[in-house]
This record gives sequence, structure tokens and C-alpha cells, in this order.
Amino acid sequence: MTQVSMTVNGKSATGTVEGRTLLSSFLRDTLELTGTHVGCDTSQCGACVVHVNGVAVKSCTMLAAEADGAEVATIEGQANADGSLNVIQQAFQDHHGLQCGFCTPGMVMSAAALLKDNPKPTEAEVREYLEGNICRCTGYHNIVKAIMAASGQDVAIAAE
Amino acid sequence: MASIGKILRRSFLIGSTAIVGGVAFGAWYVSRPAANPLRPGAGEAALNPFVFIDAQGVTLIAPRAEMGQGVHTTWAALIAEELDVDLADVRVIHGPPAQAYYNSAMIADALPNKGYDISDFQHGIGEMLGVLGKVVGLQVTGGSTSMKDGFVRMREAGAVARETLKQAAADRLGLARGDLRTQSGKVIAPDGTELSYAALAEAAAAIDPVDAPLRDAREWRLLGKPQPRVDMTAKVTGTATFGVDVRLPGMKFAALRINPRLGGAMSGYDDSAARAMPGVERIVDLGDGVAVIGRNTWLAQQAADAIDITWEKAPYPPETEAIFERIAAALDDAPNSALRDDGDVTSPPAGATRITAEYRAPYLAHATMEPMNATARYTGDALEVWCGNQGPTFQQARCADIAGLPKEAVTVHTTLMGGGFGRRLELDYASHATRVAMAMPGVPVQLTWSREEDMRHDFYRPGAMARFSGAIVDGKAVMLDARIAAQSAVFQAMDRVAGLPPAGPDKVLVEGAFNQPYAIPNYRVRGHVCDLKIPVGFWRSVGNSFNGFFHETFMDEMAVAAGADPLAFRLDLMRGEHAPSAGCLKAVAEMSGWTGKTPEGVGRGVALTYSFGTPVAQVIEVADEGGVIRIRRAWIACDMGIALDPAIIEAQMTGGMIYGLSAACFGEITFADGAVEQGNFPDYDALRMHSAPETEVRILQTNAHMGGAGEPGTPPSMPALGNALFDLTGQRARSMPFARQFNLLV
Amino acid sequence: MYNFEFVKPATLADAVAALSGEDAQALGGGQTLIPTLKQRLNQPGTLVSLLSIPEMVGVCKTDDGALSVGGATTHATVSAEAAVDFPGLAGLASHIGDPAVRNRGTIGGSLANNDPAACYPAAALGTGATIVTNAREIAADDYFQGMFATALEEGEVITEVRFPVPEVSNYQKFVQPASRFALVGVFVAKYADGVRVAVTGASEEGVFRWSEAEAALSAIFSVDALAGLSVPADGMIGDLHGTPAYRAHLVAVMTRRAVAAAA
Repeated sequence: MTQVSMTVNGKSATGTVEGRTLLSSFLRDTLELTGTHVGCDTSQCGACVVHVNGVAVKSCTMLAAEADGAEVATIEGQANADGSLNVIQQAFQDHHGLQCGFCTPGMVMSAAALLKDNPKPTEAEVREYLEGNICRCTGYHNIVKAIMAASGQDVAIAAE
Repeated sequence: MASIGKILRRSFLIGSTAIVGGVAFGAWYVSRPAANPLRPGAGEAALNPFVFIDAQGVTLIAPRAEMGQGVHTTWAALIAEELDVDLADVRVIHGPPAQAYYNSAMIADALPNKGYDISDFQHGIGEMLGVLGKVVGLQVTGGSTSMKDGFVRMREAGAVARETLKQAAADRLGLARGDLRTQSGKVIAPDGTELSYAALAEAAAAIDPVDAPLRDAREWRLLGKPQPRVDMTAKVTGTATFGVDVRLPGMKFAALRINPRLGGAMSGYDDSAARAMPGVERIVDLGDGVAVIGRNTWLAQQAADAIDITWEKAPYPPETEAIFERIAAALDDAPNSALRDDGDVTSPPAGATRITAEYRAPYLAHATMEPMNATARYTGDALEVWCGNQGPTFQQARCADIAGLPKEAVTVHTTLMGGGFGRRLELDYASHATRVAMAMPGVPVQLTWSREEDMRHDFYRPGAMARFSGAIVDGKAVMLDARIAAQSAVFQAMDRVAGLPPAGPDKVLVEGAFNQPYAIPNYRVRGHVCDLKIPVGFWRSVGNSFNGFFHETFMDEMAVAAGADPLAFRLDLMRGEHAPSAGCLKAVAEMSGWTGKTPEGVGRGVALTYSFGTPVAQVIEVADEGGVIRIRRAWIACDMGIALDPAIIEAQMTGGMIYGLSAACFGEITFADGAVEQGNFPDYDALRMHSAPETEVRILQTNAHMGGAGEPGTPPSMPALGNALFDLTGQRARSMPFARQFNLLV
Repeated sequence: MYNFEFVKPATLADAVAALSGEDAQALGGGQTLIPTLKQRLNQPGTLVSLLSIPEMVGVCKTDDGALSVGGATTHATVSAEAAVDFPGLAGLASHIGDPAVRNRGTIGGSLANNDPAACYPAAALGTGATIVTNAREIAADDYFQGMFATALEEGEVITEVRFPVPEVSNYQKFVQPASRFALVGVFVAKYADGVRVAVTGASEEGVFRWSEAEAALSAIFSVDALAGLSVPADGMIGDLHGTPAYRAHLVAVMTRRAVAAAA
């Protein structure tokens, strides 16, 4: 068992983990941040995507100990400082960008990573970037619309 | 025959009762009041509430489970429409299990008629029989029935609540009720005086409920228009509570392993390695498997994986091919049903062009994004269960049985579901959670399936086979004769869930084939039940999910044999038979600019399936991109009559289609040595964002009866894709998944 | 997953020391190793993370014009930082897994594991790269020794991979539907003194050079030069996803596509 400490959503967080403890488990079980979901535990589905030091990773395929000292961002920390929805969350709401919502935390985190690197993606770029996020319901169409809207682009063009 | 509908409506009244600091409105059954889930105190009325109003404001109860289909939003909108509250200002919660939340629409759907051609008389009978749902406690979210079910009852609850609140305000202000109006949760007097519903709640509880007619659709503020979904904010901020997100003080976490040879026994296990792991608290023998209770889910799973278990054999042929040999053999057995038998299929006209085809569809897993799970706390004389589920009354009864408790001692909390698709109609997860919790009395235990356990212990969409033959004269279909064989999901589920023996013709086994709106004079569809012990259940659109593929692929083959355009060929047979279906076909033709011709390297296919009261037509376009086939575009037209929320319906249509396309392309559950071979998404892939088509949806509203939305988008997707692949390549897709035959984009 | 100790040394020397311990194993980004551990196919006593060693991260040009990639450099970094100097390598890196996987997975991890369906071995062998370890330099032609087998000794760490930069190059892969790994991947690189062609995903012997194609392309670098050339199905992998003959067919198809894209 080793002690790890990291910054999660701007706050410091510490805990004791085994070598094999996954970051997803540390977030959900130790910190009780249950917004990050585990859908497959094999880095296929993307429901567990969080940001570590500013880049998107699948938290089911990263050891918690590996995140010692890192800046971690999860879905719980995505809203604006005043508690209002951020631009991506708002776009998901406005464009019905989810159905059951279980995959949504990973979708929002992947979308945030995309827009950070590529603020005005084409629709094809959105679709390629999120290929590692599965929605079984499956609301891909509206997720693409929401991300295009969040990037300030015309959703009507995206729907063509 | 309108009186039959009336009898139904009079079988419940909207009543009210006092609650602490407020009032509740809900359904009150004249014939036999259903037990009140709120356990009212002495002297209080037994009532199944749909609306609470107290100092905190307005709460609406949506007893249908939210699994992504938007039911909470539309269900709440039905009440809010009449109650004059804004959706943003109300709270929507799942109801507790209660008889009065029965699903009246589901039993109507089980009647052995085709659906699309029923008269008002039959429709009325169906509605009346729906009351039977109450008798068996059919509080179920399934069968695409929620809107049919809630349409009248919820608006009546809202109207009665509104008028009663107005009466309370009239009494207080010394005015006539007719002088008052309501808006945004307030009663407003002619002089502008406003009284909030919360302030009137206690007074409203003291007076008799006031009946009121329902508003005309032309006056609707909310219904018929897209509404912001009430569950969105929690879901985009990570604060929504799914079953796996339930956290209780002192909670423990469990994982399990069940015999991968489904239904097989466990003859022993060695758990010494698991016991030695720090943080492991209990190992629980489940009879056909083992569960480990530990400090967290991850640790419990590691410990479960470390148990060495000896499994017994499966009670069915252990290999896929042997299973399908049994299904093929069932095609030659005596039929279980012949629900369509028009004209004479045994002597087609001389000179007719004859065609035959054989089809096959694999077993499929539901693969909900959130694996199966449930949380339970057993205290010796009571049991609480938290889980996403599609049938809380059934969960309650089964868990009570297992715990040896009366039903009243079992509380079921229905959480949000990370997908259902029919999987969460089953009782296994809450049952096992109850067994596990009983090993640690007083401690809440959350039991979670790994993805592999989930995929390998599903109640699968049955594998199915079909033989079709048809005859064409002068370019028109004059005969269609179909035989379909599969395991009966209904027979198994009746036994598994309700303990009832299988009986009668299984409509579900042939739905999507026997009830399609084509005027073919000699038309027979027979169902054959294959008796195998592989667990099968209800997979989004159920029998339609394979029959839609069989029937609409064969219609395409008939069109080709007739030398006709496949869309025009269908339209000719449909026009006089069912106008809403014909309307959907015409709509997709127009939307896609259908010409029957496609450029080199592009293929298009069309299909229509009538299911759950809703015809859905789809055109799918595929393109050859350097040897890899991309599903490029899709057009959908549907007609479920009154469209209560077009945005939610569009999402359900697109989602249902992609769910079907995922299965058509890649979905396949196979067996080796009695166990399911696929365990996770690497083996059971889905369409991804980059491989899913761009889609356009048109919602028509000509259907006289309200149809479903959650499932009807699925069945036509598979034949539409197969027909498009034929158009592109000249190769006919008669067996799914298509990735075995075509080089599809992944 | 069996439990293990986790250490994260900050220097190469400490990493090498830690790896000399019993049952110690190196951990790169973990995108292949962690799934393997989850399946209980591997039981290390200690995992030694190589991600905090500054000299093992980054992409730069060497004095002799080669491109040097640190062993702990992620696919995402290679994809971004090699784009100008070696677009063929950047293109390969940008199509491994998905973005989240590329943010963790490392070149050293991929080459050390030498999965028969991994992409990087094709680039390393297809360029005649030098695999630099804490102890020595190994030519790519000597490094790959069959499926999951390499010239690495116990405890030896890939610190750097040095790629001779080709005039033109391209990598084409045919994705396997189930795992999304390469069913067949082909890297083609043209140098002043000849062309190299390396194939991954196809052979039971792991990544290999297709010498007939190299000879033909060295004479004339065009798709036409490949006419009539094929690899024998004998020795190709046959599984649920494709027969040996199908893989052999794909080798020729992917090679033609890579040449067309590079030319």
C-alpha cells in the first residue's frame, strides 16, 4: 500500500492505494467521485475518460499510483466557477446530446480535450476523435451536433 | 363501441389526499383500490400519487423507468401541460413499486391481432384488458408503451390537481373558481393576486377533488414541442445516480462469478487465494457461482478472479453450430402459431415466378453501457434494494421470496439506468444482490457484474432461422409463406419472472413478420418454438429484431425477382393496406431523393417494419471507399400518431436504428464448450461515432392510434442495410452479422 | 490482476537498478500491459514506471539527420512532433488506438512488447531504426525475434529509438474489427540507396521485411512495380478474423496503398 496525492478538480486529494489500484477505482471508490463511469474496464468504451495533466486518458487503464502528483480533472469539475454549465455541458443539454447518460461523462471529457487542441473541428474530426467513446443507446448524431455547437459552429451544417 | 373506452376511463378516478404540509393527487381505483405505496396513516386515503405539492414545491412521479428514452421528461410534460407548471420548476422522481403504476398499454399489445388494421372496437377491448395489468402488478417499462399508457391518465391527474387548487384559491379569496386562471405554478385572480400552489396545498387536501375536461391539443403549451430533458443537468455534471453510483454509509462492494455454462451447476471451489487478500470480507456461495464482498468493487473483482471454481456442463448443446441445428430442426416441427393465414399459399398460380430463401440471425447480448448491478441492505425483518430496473413490482416480489420476507417489507428504489434495452426486465441482479446482502445483515452491499460477467450471463436475443417462399405474377407478389424458428423469449420469461407455464401461440416470436402491412392475397406466417435452455429474453424490439430482417430482406428479394424497384414494389402492396405505413415509405423516398438508381460505388436499401404500433421506414446508403464499405447516410420516417416530444422521438429513432445497425454489422454471441465466447467490446463491437451514418428523421402524425418510439427504429435498420449492401455488391445478405460477409468500416 | 509493488524512478540509473530486482518489470504507458495484467496473464512483483525520466521523453533531430524518439514518448507526442520531419512516422502514431490511448501509450512500451499486430514494429523495421537501450544499440534487423520476442535482455530498457528519415514513407493498416489492432499493416520507406518494406500483423513470425517488394520498389518506386508480386500464405496467421490466404492478400493490397500514398 502506498500513499498517493494529486489535485483533483483543483482540490488536493490523498489516499492509500495498492500498486494495482486503477485511477478509475481511486476516483470512484476512495474519493467517491462517481461521475466517472466504468463501462468495460478494457479501455474500449471511453465512459471512464478523465484528464491527467491536461490530456484525456482512460482512467480504467492507468494506475492510481501513476497519477501521484498529477492534476486530474473529472466530470464533476467541469461546470463554471459559478456552478453554471460550461459551454460543452450546455450544448449537450441544448442538443439532446445524451440518452441514458452513462457514457456522457466520458463524452464530455473527450469533447473538452478535442476542443482544447482543435477549437473549430470539422464534423469528421469530431467523429474520428471520439471513436473511442461508445454510446449504446445510441445518440451519436446529437453528440456530434452538441460538440459542433459547443465549438461555436453552425449545427445546421453539421446535420447536412 | 366507444363505451368500452369509457368503461376503462371510469375504472379509475383522480383523487387526492393530505400529505405532510401538502397534498397529493393520483389515481384512485373504483373497483378495487390498489395498495398505497406511501403507506398512509389511519384515516388517510389509499392513493397512488402522480403529483405531490408541499412547501418544497411540485413533485411529479414518473413510475416508468428512465433508461435514456426521455420518459421522465414527456411523462412530466403530460402532467405539467394540464397543471400549468413549468418543467424547469418541478422535480421528477421514480415512483415506488405499486400496483396502481401498472402498465395498461402492455397487455393490449399482447392481443393476437396484427395491430395496424384493428378497429376501434378491438382497440377498446385492448384498452380494457389493460386494466388486467393492474391485477398482475405489471409495473413495467418496456414494449415501447409508456406514452400510450400515460397519455390520458397523466393529463387527467394534472387537470384535477389544477382545478382543485383553483377551488382552494377561490374559497380563500371569496371568488368563483371560474374567475381564476393558472400559470407557472400559481393561481391568479382577476385583480392580479397570485397564490402559489405550495401555499394552497394544505387547503386543497381538505376539499373534494374537482373533475375537469382535458384541454384540446390546439391549446398545448408543452406537448408536441421539444422540451429540455429534465434529467440532463445531472447527467452532464456527473451527479446523476445510476445503480453503480449508489453510495450509502458503511457500504461494502461485491463482485461475482457465475457458471459460464448458463444454467449449469458449480461442483466446488477453492477460495484460499481470495480469502488471503486484505480487504476481502466474505465469500458467498450462490449455488451456481460465488460472490466476494470487499472494501471496493475493484478489489472484490480481483478476489473473485482469484477463486478456482469447478463448473458443471451446460444444459444445452455446447457449440453454436449444434444449437443452430436444433433451431433448423424446429422449422420442420409442428408450428406453434399461424397468426397470419390469408388465402391459400399451397397452390400458387401456374406460371408464377417462385423464389425461396433461408435466413439466419445470431444470438445477441444487450450490452448496456452500465453493467448489471444492484445494492441491497438486509436487516432480518426488512430489505431495501437499489437498482435500475424495468419492473419494480417483479423485483420486489422476487427479492421478498429470496429473503423470506413479506412483499411489504421490501423497498425497491429505482435508480437511473445506464441502458436497459430489455435486459433490466430480468430479476437476476437484484436477486443475487439480496443473497449477497443476506450474508452481511445490516450492511448495504453493492454487487456489480464485470463487463465479462454481464456479457456472458445475459438473457440473449434468441438466435433465429427462417424459410421464406414467395410467388410473383406480373411483377406483383401474390404469395408469401414464412416459417420462423427460435426459442420463445415469452415462454421462458413467463416461467422465469411469473412462474407461469408456457401456453398458446407466441405472438412475439413472429411479430414483425405476421403483422406487416402488405396486401398479399396468399400470405401465411407460422412460428416454431425451439425448446432449448439457453437463457433468452427481450432485446430492443424483441421478435421484430429478427423478423424485420427476415421479412424485409425477402420483400427485397421478391422485388428483384419481379424486376421492380424495391420501394415502389412495397408501396404498391401497402397503399391500400395501411396508409400511415405507405406515408412513411413515401416520406423516405422523398427525403433521400430515391430514384432506384445509384452511382457506381454507392448502394441504397429500403425497409419498413411496423412494430409497437408505429411504422418506420428507413433508407440506408452505403459507399465503397477503397475496398472498405462505409454506412454513409440514413433517412428515417415514422408515424406514431400524436408526437408528444419530437426531439425525444428523433433521438429514439436515430438511436434505435444505430443499435440495430451495430448488431447487423458486428453483433454475434457464439458458444464454445457451453460458454459464451464474447466477453467485452473488443469481441462484441458496436458502431462508433466515426462509423455511424449521418441521419435525417421525419415524424409523421397520421396514425389514428398512438404507437411506441423506443424500439420501432431498430427492426428496419438491419434489412435496410442488407438491401443496400446487395445494391452495392450484388451479394445478398441472408445471415447476420454482415461483417462476416462484407468488408465494413470499423 | 495480481497485486504488485509500484515504483516510479526519476533517473534511468534508478530505473535500471529497480529492474534488477526479482520479478520486476518495466511499465510504459500500460495500454497493453495493464489489460494483460487484468487477464491475470502476467504476475510481476514490481512494476517500474519509466514515465518520469526526463531524458527518455521527446522527439529531436540528431546531428546525422536521424529522428530520435525517447523511449517513454507517447504516441500523441510522436504524432505531433514528428509531423514535419518524418510525416510517415507521425501518421502511423496518429492512428494507434484512440486519442486517450495515444496520450498514454509509448513507443518503448510498444517495441518492448512486440505484439505481432502492433504498428511501431513496422516503422522500426521498415526504416532500419536503431533501438537504443541503457546498455547498447541494437539494429532493428536484429531486434525483432518473433511474436512478443525481442533482443532485449532482462531488465534492459529502451531509452531511445533512432530513425533514419526516409525521402518518402507511408504506413497503411487494415484494422481488425474486434481488437482494432492491425490485421495487416505495411510500412514503406524510400531512401536514396533503396526501399524498405516491413509488414506487421500478418506473420506467425511477427514483423518481417518483404524482400521481393523491396527489390521491385528499389528499381522503380511505383505501384506498377508491385504487379504480380505476392507473399505466400504459408506462415501467415490464421484466426477468427482472417485466414492465412486473406492476410497474404492484404499484404499486397496494403503495400500498394502505402506506395501510392507515399509517391
